[in-house]
Amino acid sequence: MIFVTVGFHSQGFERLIKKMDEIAGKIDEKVIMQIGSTSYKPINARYFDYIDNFQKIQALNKTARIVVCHGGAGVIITAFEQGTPVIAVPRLKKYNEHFNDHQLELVDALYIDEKIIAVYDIDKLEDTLNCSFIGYLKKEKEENRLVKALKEYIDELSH
Amino acid sequence: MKICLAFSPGGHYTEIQRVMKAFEGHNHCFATIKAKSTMSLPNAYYLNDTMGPTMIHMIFNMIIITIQSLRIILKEKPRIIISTGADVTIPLIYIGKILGAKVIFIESICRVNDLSSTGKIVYPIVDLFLVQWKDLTKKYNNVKYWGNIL
Repeated sequence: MIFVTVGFHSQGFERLIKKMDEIAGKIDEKVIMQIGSTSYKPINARYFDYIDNFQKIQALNKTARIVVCHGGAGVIITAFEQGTPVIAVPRLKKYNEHFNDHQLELVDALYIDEKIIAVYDIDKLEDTLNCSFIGYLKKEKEENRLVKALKEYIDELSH
Repeated sequence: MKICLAFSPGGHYTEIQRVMKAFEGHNHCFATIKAKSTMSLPNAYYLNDTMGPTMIHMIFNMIIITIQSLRIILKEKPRIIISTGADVTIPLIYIGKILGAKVIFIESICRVNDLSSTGKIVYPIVDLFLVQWKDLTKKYNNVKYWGNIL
């Protein structure tokens, strides 16, 4: 199952939702979409705008084979925590998807760090869904380095 | 040892949750803005929102937040204050520092090429300023990179 999510941002993300809907019409794999403020309504996939229940969102992230999302830290963190690979498409100001291009910054950096796959040209999205690099993405470590370092710093302060 | 965790709801709260394990075993309280996600937090203090329709409203809000922050520090006497931003946490950081607490600021993972405006405002006084991308250590002398939340 592919879970598509565009977060809580006030602007829609028609470019991603339309393309994923088109792809959903061609492939056998099930697609579920959280469309947020997007006005385009998918015809080839189940969709909802928002769910209040965060546990349901976590479950969708966990069961998905891949999460396809906008370049928002929140949705990327949620997918990463559930161990599901992320393909991120940054929202762009020129398409009225966001007020600025700051999603590009985060998506570029995470892509270089091999934590996610970034797709900038929406026509390349379909091929990316089955690319082998998905299997090589870095996963969550047992012990996060930042948490460990912070813990040591705090423990030292308490002595 | 008392730790005060300060953050705005939304992304800043999500990020601090990712490092919560580092504070296990210590007493902690929370300073945040009331929202659906934060209203059930135990031992939480709620600050006014910084946002307002005009600049006058925002300045007024900041004054209220400063008074609220002073009350929290005097009551809780935290040894450490940890903030992930945003601007609502600035008074708490400054007052906490003046009254003897150690302050840790964790810049957002979204800040790849530069610090946030909150980060720039608190940079001069925090004891530990953590960035989540290594290249920022080249741009600023007193920030540390200890990895990120992913």
